[in-house]
Amino acid sequence: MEELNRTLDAVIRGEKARVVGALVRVLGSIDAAEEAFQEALLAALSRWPVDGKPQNPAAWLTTTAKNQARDAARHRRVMSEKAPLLAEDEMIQPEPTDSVSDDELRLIFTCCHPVLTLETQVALTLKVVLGFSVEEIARAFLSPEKTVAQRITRAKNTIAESKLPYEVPSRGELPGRLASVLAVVYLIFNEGHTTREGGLMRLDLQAEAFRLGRLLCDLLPTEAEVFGLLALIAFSLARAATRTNARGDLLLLSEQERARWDRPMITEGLMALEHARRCAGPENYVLQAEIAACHATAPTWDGTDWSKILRAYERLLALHPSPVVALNRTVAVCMASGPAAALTALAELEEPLARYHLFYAMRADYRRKLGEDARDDYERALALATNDAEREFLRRKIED
Amino acid sequence: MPQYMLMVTEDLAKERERTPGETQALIEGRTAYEQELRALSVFLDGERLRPVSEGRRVSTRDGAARVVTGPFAEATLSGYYVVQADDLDAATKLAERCPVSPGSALDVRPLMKGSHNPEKMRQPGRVFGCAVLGNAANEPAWVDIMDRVDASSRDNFPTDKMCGGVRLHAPSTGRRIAATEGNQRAIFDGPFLESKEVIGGLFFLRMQTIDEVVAFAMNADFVRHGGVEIRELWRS
Repeated sequence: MEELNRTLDAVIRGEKARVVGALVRVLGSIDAAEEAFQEALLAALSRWPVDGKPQNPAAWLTTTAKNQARDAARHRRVMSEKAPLLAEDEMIQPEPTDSVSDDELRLIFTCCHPVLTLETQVALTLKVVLGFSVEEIARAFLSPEKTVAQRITRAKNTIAESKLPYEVPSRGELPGRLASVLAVVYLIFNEGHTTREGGLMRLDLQAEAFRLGRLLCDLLPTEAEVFGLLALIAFSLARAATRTNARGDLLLLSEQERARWDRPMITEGLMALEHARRCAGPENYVLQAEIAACHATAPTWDGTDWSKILRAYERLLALHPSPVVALNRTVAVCMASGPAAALTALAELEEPLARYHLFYAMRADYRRKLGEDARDDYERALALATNDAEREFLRRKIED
Repeated sequence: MPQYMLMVTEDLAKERERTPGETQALIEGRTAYEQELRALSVFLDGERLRPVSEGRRVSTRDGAARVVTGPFAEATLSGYYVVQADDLDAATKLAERCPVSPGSALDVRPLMKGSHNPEKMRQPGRVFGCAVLGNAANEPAWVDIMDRVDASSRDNFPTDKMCGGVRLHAPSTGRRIAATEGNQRAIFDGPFLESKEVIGGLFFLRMQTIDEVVAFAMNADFVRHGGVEIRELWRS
């Protein structure tokens, strides 16, 4: 029984998107598809212990779910001749022979449709694509279950009412729509990285973001940004275990124990980045990944290739001017040219970042390096920070 | 022009010791090497394989197919190139330029037949490389195994999922370049039957999961004669 549950869990986590994606195409709605999928899971629970585990569990679940849906449709038709009919012959057609179906992509693009709010896109993607339960989503985002459930129901209604075409966007539309999908992946990853309140990391969310990123890479193998984002997530995951000390205090990159970074995960990042470089054009996530790669491969903080990092920041800022990116760039300025140069670079960022705690924390660091008393800046940073681990970190700085 | 396969075999223990900086240098070195082969117009195909820990081996023991999950005891393939060259010497010269880490080996083997699809990783979906392995006491016996695999794999192949495949000539027709510490290279002539399983060919299947490939291999007739190591290709 335990083994059966493990198998089913693996299928739900690994292949739900493909099965549900195929079912939406056939049944016409995410709700009906998820219902049929649940029915198939129940059937598996009763039949597999008797018949043995099928060689291809995902295929078995897809076929069973389709049969269940067909039976349900027949039943509905008998009950009411006026009920909308499902194209029955379409439903019983065999699996498409090409092993790469667009079903998963259609499903992902629909869940991340810009007609929905970003929060809703995230919830729907976690639920429908990644197989999270409402309870798990609620826990991950520290929201009440009821709120999450309502959000998902509303999203499904919006999709049904707006009659969104269930399709992969055309070439021309793709960049914009893909940006919206990647924003969802990035948000899932980032939510796992630093939560707004409470504890610091939720590794499972980061792992899920990585899994979704890999899936997207397989589905869109020539899109540089997909690989850039995957690399960025991999480099971050590789350092996850060293981001805090035994007491749970936040550690800076310069303080982390590099020998404990996850090397196979760094290799994942490097390979994804190499692929991204071969696809056209440096873009936002690719350049962020370039910076992360410099850190991941440097033997020490001081031995980091700061001039390469500076070049990547300059390209990044030329593409997308952003005060937060400019703020991060000052770290590389400080390492390459010293704290006085970093303070000069910071000066023009005070206005746009006046409410951002990290601006004051970083200015305090550079001032302290120059021998100044920077307690006022640390205190301003502390007053603006909301994350427990970050607040604790700033408190330690003030005491030092 | 004759075609040759260059197969990179990595020492797992050494690979684990590699620092991220060394890994990065190796990855970038391989990309530069591929560009070099392309510039010389000798490149036909080449891919890197995902970690052996994710791989599977399907073989027959006592009449029943069985599956082993990686990593495997022996050193295994980490990447390959297919090039065209005038002769074995010219192919060996090309292979010598391939950056590899110490402890790795590069096997150069002439191709008997096959087809290449160098664009397979630019299309959607996951691709799995299947290395056909034979275990025999001497080369004639090994060749016999490969002939039987070849004969029994003509039918029942999922041709709609195939993206290329090649059969190699016997190990005695090839060369091995061993990379030692300090980037020294030593070149040996075949045969190389001392290792337990000797690769006789490589084919590629675009499938959804490795389990799907395993299921195909378990039911494939040719596994009765030899074995197959299944490894996902890396996009890089």
